[in-house]
This record gives sequence, structure tokens and C-alpha cells, in this order.
Amino acid sequence: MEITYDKREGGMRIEVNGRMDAITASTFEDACGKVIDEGEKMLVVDCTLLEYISSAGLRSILIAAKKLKAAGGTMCFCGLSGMVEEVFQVSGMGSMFSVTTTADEAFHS
Amino acid sequence: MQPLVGSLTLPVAIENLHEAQWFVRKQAEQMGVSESLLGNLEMVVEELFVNIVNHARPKSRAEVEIHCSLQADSATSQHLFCLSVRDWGTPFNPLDQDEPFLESDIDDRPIGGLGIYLINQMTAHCSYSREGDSNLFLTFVPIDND
Repeated sequence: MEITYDKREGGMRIEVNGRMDAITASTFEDACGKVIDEGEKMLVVDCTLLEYISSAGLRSILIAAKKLKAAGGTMCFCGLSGMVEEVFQVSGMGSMFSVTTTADEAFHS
Repeated sequence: MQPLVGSLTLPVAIENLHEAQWFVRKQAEQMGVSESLLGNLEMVVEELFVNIVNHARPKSRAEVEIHCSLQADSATSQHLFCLSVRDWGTPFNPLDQDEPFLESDIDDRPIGGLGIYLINQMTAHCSYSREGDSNLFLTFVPIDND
């Protein structure tokens, strides 16, 4: 899994590329933790290039989202498709977070 | 014609997860499972494999045996992809878990407990049995979305 940071006006877009599983999920958690510690309040996680997610990935997202919320920030998601979108819906994560089609929509909503 | 079946045995270690997933994906492809369901199947493999790595604590045989086959559902005459995962660890029924809270707020939402829930949601049916000194988990997945 690769993570790309994209600083925008109003927040940070974090692009995740590849597979978020039991082996790689901690990379996402660490990446978010770093950005939150730096004071970022708006995180848009762009999943356009994310092919696969498991409960370990959801767990890392929840840990990061709780940390961000405690710091007064918000996490949003965009670009969900295929099995990633299905796992989001089935697990109830889709209704817990704001989900948009594109990152621009998330930053301008 | 030979029946379509395949087996793989791997040591219980997290670094073997991707090999287990790759094997099941290839088997499923050969048996005609729809492309759009392969990711779900890989997720089922991960949840079961990680459970064994984290909880099985085998005293002697530290292996996971994965078996794939195609079976006809007697009720609907549809074909189902059958994935069986066996380990020789402590008796552990992953289905003995409370339903997770799905609708709660971020602050109240528990971090874990989703793995088995996802398996239940993404398979046609699944079952656990203790057979001798092994745990056997069976899951059945339709081969297409219809």
C-alpha cells in the first residue's frame, strides 16, 4: 500500500493505493497519526486507487478517525468502488463518515 | 473430467497471508467465480487466516490447511464455491460472537469485532466444527452475483 499526501486549501487529501490489510493497515494509521499530530483538522481519504480492504483496514481507519475527532477534526472519504465500497456499506462505515465521489466535493461541501 | 478441487497447506504465520489469498483467488478464477466476487473471497481468507495467526496457539501442528471445491447447492441447484480452512489450534468458534454495533457514533464505535460479521455478510453460509484436534471452518460463496 502506498500513501500520497496532497495538501489542499482547507485540509489534506491522503491517497491510498493498493491493499489495506492486516499486514499494511498500520501504515495508514501511522500516516494519519503524523498528519493529525501536525495539526491538520480536515482529512479526505481518497480511495480511488484502493483495491482491497479487510476488517484490519477498517480498524485502522476507526483508530485514526477517533484520534482526529478527539483533536477536533473530521475525516471524510471519496472514490469508493468495488469491494471497498461494499465493505464500507456492510460494516456501517459508509453511514458513519461523509462519503463523496471526488476529493473536490469533500473540500467544497 | 476431474472434479475441480485444490488444497494448500501453509505454516501459521502472518507473512503467508498473501500466498493463502493468492491461492484461493486462482482456484476461484479456475472454478468460474465472478471477477467482482474475488475481492470478497480474499477478504474472507484474510479474516480466517488472521484469526488463526492471532488465536490458534497450536501446540504441535502449526499449519493452516486450505481446501477449495465447487459444490452444487441441493436446494437451488446453483453452484457454490466452497472454501474450507482447518487449523490444529485451541478449540475456537469464531461464530460465537455478539453482533457488532454498526450504527453508533465514531466515539462509541468499538474498534474490533468486524471480521466475522463481514464473513457472514459476504458468504451464502458458513459453519464451524471441531473435528478431533482440529478447527474446521467452512464457507460457501455463490459463483456469480445473480
